[in-house]
Amino acid sequence: MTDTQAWLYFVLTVVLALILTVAPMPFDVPDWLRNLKPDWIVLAWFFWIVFQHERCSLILAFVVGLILDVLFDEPLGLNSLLLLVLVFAGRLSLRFMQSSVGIRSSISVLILCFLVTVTKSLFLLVTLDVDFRLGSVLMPPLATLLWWVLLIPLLNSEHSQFRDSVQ
Amino acid sequence: MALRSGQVVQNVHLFVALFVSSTLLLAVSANTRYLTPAETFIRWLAVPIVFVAQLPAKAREATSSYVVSMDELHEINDQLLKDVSRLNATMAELDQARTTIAELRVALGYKLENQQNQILAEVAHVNPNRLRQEVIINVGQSHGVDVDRGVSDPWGVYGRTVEVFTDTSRVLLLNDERHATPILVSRTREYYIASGNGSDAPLTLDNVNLSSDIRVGDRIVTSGLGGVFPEGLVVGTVTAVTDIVSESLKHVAISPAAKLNAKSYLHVITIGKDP
Repeated sequence: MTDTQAWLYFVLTVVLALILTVAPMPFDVPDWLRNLKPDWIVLAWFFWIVFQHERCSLILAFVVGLILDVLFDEPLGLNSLLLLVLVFAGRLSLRFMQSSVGIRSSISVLILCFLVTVTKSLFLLVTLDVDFRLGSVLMPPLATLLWWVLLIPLLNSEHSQFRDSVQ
Repeated sequence: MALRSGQVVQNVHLFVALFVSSTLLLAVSANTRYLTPAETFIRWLAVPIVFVAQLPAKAREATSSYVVSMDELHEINDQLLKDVSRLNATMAELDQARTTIAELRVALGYKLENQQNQILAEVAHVNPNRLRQEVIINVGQSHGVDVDRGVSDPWGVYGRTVEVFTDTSRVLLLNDERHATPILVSRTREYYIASGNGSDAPLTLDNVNLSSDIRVGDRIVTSGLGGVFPEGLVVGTVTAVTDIVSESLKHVAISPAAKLNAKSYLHVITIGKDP
């Protein structure tokens, strides 16, 4: 994969994650299926942090966060702050993952997604008096973990540059 | 490609700078409206994303409207003819009742204060945020919609407009945690406030005394107080009443009549104002 191609894939993945985040689910979708919707943003960014962390620029995370703020109709800066922390903490977690993508990366994605969801819920609780619900805090990280497990074989494939990125 | 120590330091500096910027932005945007122009600009940038995100739903809607078998069409047509016949009968009854009410008003010298009009609307976008129950409807200022106008669906109260743009409006749904509706219990004629509790939870009534006679199955309608909704619109039905002796209050749960998760036509109610 050339550098230009990698950048193109990266940008496409981030835009796709934004689209999937905003895309409305049909009204007749059952609740259990609705709960399987992962945090696409966390999933996409964490994938690229593990795959090629040098692509995950902090400035880009800040800009994408601002777009998310507007799409979610949340105060400007909230999602950019969370995405910055996600990218920074995700890069730090590469050391924890060491040389293989498996259980450790799953633990990292679960913890990071949980932190993002809890922080956002707590902020909304304090500023907008929105109730803190355990279900809405637990389901997105678990759904994201489920989708992450499906991505692990892709990251472990021989074409993956994971090993290069953590050496 | 491992990070060199120089890059790490540079990244930490950049992270701190952006972290501080985000925090400042957050503090300003959460407490003031100075950043509204910036938000409008970013919203404009995000329009293509929203457009593409809505394409599958629009395609589904379009195909479900146009791709229908003849048998289904006959079935729908039969059902519509039955509905028209039933509605005609109801309309005749309503006309009769309206005439009687008008006669009674004249006899009692009662003056009607608020003329009620309705603007037909459809949901254009659903807020993807799970913690907010909001939709965007396809009517706005140019159609005569204002902020704080009641919105209903064919089954009951749906929500209220909280932000109005030129051709669209943002509607806060009845079950959003920030939504409160002045209501009346039809049977007991008691006034309360019904509050939303999120998408998965029923509405609840605030400050219901233990002495209240409210029961499961009671019909809840709007009280007309506050001027957003006219009196008598159906809000829902009481599904549970629990005594909380320690607080000397009753916990009352209400199932909303409106189908908040279903796609249907909506009505924006403009009281005392021509659309």
